[in-house]
Amino acid sequence: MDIIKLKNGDRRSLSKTLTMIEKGDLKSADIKEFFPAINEAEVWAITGSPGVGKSCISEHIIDNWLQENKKIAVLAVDPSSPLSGGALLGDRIRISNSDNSDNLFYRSLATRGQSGAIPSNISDMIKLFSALDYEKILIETVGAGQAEVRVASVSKFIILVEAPDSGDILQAEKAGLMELADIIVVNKSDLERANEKAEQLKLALQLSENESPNVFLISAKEKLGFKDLFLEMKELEKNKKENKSKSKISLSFAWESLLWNYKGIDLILQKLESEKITIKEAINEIMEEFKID
Amino acid sequence: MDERLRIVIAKPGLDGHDRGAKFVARALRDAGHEVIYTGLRRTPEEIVRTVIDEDADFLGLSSLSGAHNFLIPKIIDLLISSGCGDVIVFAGGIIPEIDRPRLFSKGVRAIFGPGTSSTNMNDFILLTVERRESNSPVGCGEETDWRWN
Repeated sequence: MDIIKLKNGDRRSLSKTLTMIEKGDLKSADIKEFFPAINEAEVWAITGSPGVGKSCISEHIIDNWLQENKKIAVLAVDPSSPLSGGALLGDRIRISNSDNSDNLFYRSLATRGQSGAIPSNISDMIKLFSALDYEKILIETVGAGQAEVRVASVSKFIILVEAPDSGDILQAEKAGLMELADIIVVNKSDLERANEKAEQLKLALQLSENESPNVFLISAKEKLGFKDLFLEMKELEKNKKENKSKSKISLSFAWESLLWNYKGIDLILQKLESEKITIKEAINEIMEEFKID
Repeated sequence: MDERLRIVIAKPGLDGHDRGAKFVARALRDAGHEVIYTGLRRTPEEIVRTVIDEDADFLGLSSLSGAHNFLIPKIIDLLISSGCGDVIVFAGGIIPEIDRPRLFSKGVRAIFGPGTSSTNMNDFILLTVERRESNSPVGCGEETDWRWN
């Protein structure tokens, strides 16, 4: 890693460093060592089922940020094939007019067999971008289902994208990403039934006990409804309301990563494997290490 | 091969046909690589930027419009001037025999025309990786006459 080139904004050094992080050769502790003061970038995630229009909406969001002269990093995640381990990363196809700016760094990532809609070392990448003074980071998840909530642990804001005819409204009432979203967007407003979908979502959200996110009706294709969405995004960046279920998930993933990065974990796993200790004893051992009563 | 390769498949210039490019992308994915497809009508600058941001090991250029003699050398020049002379470049599509020597001497390491099998392409990839591992020149900006076909 060429730290001087990296600090001077050399794209290839940044790209090579991201590869090191992806392979697990570089951790956020190392990054902190090179960059003592790190500003926090505003991290947005855009998520939703396959085909609802995440990439097309991303393009408009990126355009808007570029017009404001922000320094932007995009991490677009697509699934790895469970059969070959390969991946076809095609989110770039949608980003046509914003691909030329020096203020935009766009990287496609494959999940490499991990569940949860984003790779686990994405938080280290966010750290690197933040250290290099990127102001906005946009994570585009794989087409995610209700259970894929890991994205909440690395992003400050979540935009959930829905489309008309993507399942009946009971889907929305089930728990999951819906509870964690800061903004809900119904895309494809140029199609019939989009309005109906938005109204159904609003109704479902009214029944929820938590403070519910606002629902926006947009069309990425016709570029309609984005003005209100951008205003809402600005508003949220100013006054972010923490919600309890999101904090719960952030905490549980942070805990998980602490656990797997714990030095003694291999030894404990070995003992478990050879049945020298029980799960309960393993937990006690870990709790003692972390000084939990 | 335990290491996944990252391969950019690009469509430079005003060329609206990408069935071949998509086939290649798919075949390389099935061989276990991470393939980034740029989509249609990309400028040389956009393609080189994609190669940089994605930290690609390979760049595959598909051309069926007849502009290969202009676009491919331009892309290779840009790659070299951006410090990406180690990237391995191959081409495909409709590239007449008479144009090939010039492209090879410019740094293209393989040209795959219609009817190429995916095995043939994967063998090329494996061989270039072997060359790279033994420190033999193979990147588009490295001095060598070596080529696949």
